[in-house]
Amino acid sequence: MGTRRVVCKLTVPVLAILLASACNKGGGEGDSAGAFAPGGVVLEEPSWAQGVAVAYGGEDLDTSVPGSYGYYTEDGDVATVYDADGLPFTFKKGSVKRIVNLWPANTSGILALGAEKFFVAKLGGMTTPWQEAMFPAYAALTAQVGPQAGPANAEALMALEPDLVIGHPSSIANLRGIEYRGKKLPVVNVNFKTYQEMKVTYRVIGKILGGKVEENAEAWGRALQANIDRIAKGLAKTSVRPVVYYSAGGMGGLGSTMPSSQGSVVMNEWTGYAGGKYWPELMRVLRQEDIVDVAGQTGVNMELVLKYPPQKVFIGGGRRAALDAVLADRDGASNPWAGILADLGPDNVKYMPYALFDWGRFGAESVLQILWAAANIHPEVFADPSSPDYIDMRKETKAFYTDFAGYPVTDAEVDAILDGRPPASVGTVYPPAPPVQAPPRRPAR
Amino acid sequence: MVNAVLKVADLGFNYFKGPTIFSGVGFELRAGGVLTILGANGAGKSTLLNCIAGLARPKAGAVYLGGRDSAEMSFREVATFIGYVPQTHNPAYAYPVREYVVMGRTPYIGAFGSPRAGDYAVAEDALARLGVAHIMDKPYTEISGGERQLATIARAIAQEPKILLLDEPTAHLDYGNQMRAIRLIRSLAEEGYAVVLTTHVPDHPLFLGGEVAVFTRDKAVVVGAAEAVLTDELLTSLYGVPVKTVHVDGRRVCYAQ
Amino acid sequence: MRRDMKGSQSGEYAWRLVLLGAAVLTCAVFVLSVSIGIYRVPFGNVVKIVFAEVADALPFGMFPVERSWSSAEGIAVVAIRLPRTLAALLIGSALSVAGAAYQSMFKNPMVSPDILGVSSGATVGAALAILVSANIVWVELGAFAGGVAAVMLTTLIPKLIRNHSIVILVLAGIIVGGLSSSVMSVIRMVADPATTLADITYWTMGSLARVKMREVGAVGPVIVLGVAALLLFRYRLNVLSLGDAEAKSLGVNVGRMRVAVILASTLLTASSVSIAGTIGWVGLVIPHISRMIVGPDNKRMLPLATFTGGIFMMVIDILARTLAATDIPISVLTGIIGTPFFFFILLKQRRSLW
Repeated sequence: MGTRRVVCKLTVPVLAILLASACNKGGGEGDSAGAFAPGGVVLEEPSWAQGVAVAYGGEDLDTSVPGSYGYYTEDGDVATVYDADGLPFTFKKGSVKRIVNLWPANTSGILALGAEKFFVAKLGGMTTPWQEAMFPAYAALTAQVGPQAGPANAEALMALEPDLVIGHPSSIANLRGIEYRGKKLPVVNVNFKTYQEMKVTYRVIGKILGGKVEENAEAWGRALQANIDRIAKGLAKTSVRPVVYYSAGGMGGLGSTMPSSQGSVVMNEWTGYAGGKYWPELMRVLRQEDIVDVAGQTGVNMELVLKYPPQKVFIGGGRRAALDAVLADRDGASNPWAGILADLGPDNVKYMPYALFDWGRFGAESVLQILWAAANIHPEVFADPSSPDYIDMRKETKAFYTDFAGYPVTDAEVDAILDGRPPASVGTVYPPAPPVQAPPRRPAR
Repeated sequence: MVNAVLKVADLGFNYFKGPTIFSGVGFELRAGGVLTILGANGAGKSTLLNCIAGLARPKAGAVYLGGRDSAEMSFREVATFIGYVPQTHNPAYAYPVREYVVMGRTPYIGAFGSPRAGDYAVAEDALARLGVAHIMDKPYTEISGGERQLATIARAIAQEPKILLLDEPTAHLDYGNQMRAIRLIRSLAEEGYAVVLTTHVPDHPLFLGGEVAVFTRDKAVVVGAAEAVLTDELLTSLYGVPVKTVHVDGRRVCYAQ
Repeated sequence: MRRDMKGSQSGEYAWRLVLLGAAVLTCAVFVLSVSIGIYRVPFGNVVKIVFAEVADALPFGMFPVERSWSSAEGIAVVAIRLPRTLAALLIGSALSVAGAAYQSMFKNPMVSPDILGVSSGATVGAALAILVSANIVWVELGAFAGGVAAVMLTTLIPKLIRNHSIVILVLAGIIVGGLSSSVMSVIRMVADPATTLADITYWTMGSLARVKMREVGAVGPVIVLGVAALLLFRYRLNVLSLGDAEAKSLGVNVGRMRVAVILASTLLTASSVSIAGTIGWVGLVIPHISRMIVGPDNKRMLPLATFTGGIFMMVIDILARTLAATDIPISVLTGIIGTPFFFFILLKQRRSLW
């Protein structure tokens, strides 16, 4: 009786081992990583990505349809504009002077469009160092509003007597429900999920605030389109679309990416416009399954990355410290990324700029973002100063902050922004990011 | 008394800032001696027993085991002297009786050790002496109340103690088993153990003889020979009903009206 | 057969056989875990890679192995699967043994290793470290320190009340657990939702994905020591489960035993939580399973629980990284698998479990 039990117990592991060896016939089917040339030029897509189409972009929204997002009418002094929920926001032109913005991405966006003087409160704890440097008046505001996702402190909001409340998409319903003595908050939902919607968002806000902001908003929309077109012209010269991986940083380390199943698909957008293919989207198309996010982050399955290695790795999120550690960890046995990053080389692994907001997320800096992405994904087209398609990131960055944000940024500051460094580092010797080196290879014996 | 295995001197106890449960209790017990602690429910009998066993710390007085103050002895040393049989045992886990009884050998097993064959032999022997060797392999939860009692006594015996303390040994037994238990206690005393037990049934000390410690109504503890202390008057005042003792077949028994 | 194992002399042979079988199964699952994954590595290469890894660790170049595998295969086995599998084995054993020890000490089979608040305290410690935006090493140290501090607080309360009964200890654990929850709520309120809050939530879910070999190396010896200590005490745990009064009467210094058991269990649980986040259910369910197979006698149950726990966690880890493109958080899996499994066990067992 005892022996029978033992034999039963042993058959399972034996079968398991046989099964394992049977399953593991060949190497990973997605082994190839594509061909590279020096300077970060990608010569060829990997075999598993060739022919796989990744959708991005879309048509401009039609704001002339009554009741649609961005639809604007005026009747003398009184104007009405429709928000993303299809609800009208009526205002007397030029009367909106006090705004409260509970959405960090949007805040940085309209600050960049010159709306600083309208703010009566700042978002608690969410001001980036560059926001403080470029918009000291905003940073100096004493009134604070709470975290964007949680229920806003209704009394505090009411007390500020705002003429316009821009809410975070997740808490718009809460905000609309706040009522005090018959008075409701003037809430608008200016949510966007694509570049096209972002144009409309800024136009709506521009219309409400009027003046310079309206001018800037329209100019911004035109600049975005101009940049998209300019890049498309350059991209016509090459059919290669490198695979681009974006890491949001944080606890998941480099394994933390932004999947397409989340609301924010912006990485897919700028990757697509800049001539690349976004890795999580590729996975979704290839494997017919979503990469699911957990608590706003994703720990991507590392073996998946091994099987389908990306060709460009962009690191955003402004959480550089944690990633410096990962990049510095060259111990191939401990850090699965070490080998992958070493194979890519420093030209293909970049920190993304982070100023008013993470350039990789939605914001006014998106006009710069697609230029930056294009320059880094296709250096063969956009990095040659003698070529007509040349993108001079310094010039573009300087122009953007000076013209739109009204902040005359210096060359040193431009360098800092492009490097993802805070304003405090300008003029000082800042420790550079450790170079991505190959892990020490043990000699084959 | 020479060779007093158990000596209690001037023992007193009260709970933290509470009223005195007992004070000034003292007696001596030799091998083979029996002391019955008698009293109404809640009088403090178990407390006194716990003080003797070292499970509660007395506020005054001392307990001497084989001449040594038990307060200066380690738990392990006390356990080689005293075998404690608790009133109820609610098992959390259904150990087989064999394992349960061999736990009596713990004082002789090191901190990191396990019972060896010799220890199991002692345990089985104890069970056999009590006539319940057949329950050895059954889970503790599957035997009757009387068998559990005997198993616990066997565990105490396995400790090879000099003193046995039993807390209300007849509490959950039926009439017949009560008598068997008392007879067993007498035979254990005859084997040489010094036995202390608590009970609220006056017939028991009358049967066992030896010494008795009575918790009277007025909070005093009267210690003395059972025959002498347990008068009709004392019993009547103790239980609040008229009690007479009569002789039947040469034995003194109680008769309550 | 089962009765034999739980009871008599003849059961002695049978349960040793079961233990041997469990050990063999553990090795087999280990091999399986290192061999399978989304990135396919031929079994022969897996063996060679592991062998080379072990051989490299030896001081002299005694066993030359030819490098016939690709670097990606090496990364998959050595940097991804091996640390996770080892961590799963260690953590599974640690939590099971700690849970079993507590179940004896608290005389209650429904107790989990977190009863004294070590997991909630560790979460607070980690969250505080994340708030300060510390790197991962500090987060893990914070978790460990938080867990130990919470248990120290729990054991302090009985001293303050001057009541050392086991009930007060349990209540103290509830108090400290509640305190930790409140502190966590405050931390969650002040944390930046886009970055820190997401980090905290992610960490709390528990994941073996971020376990590196050096973390295994740091925590491994602690876990091995803790498990060994509790295994040495396995007979005493039987006596302890009789209750304080009876254990004392049998010569056990209950106070010191408790300190030893709490110390060992806390080290085990805090180590596990610090590298992998909070993992529930394992410490509760695995001892039950072991009890069902060999009975409640800790001399037999505890060694079996060590293996069973390791096997369970390794299987969970395999599922976590092969089922989907995302790494499924461990707690999700232990809950989804553990709870119905537990219900199924209760259903099968008609008589009293323990």
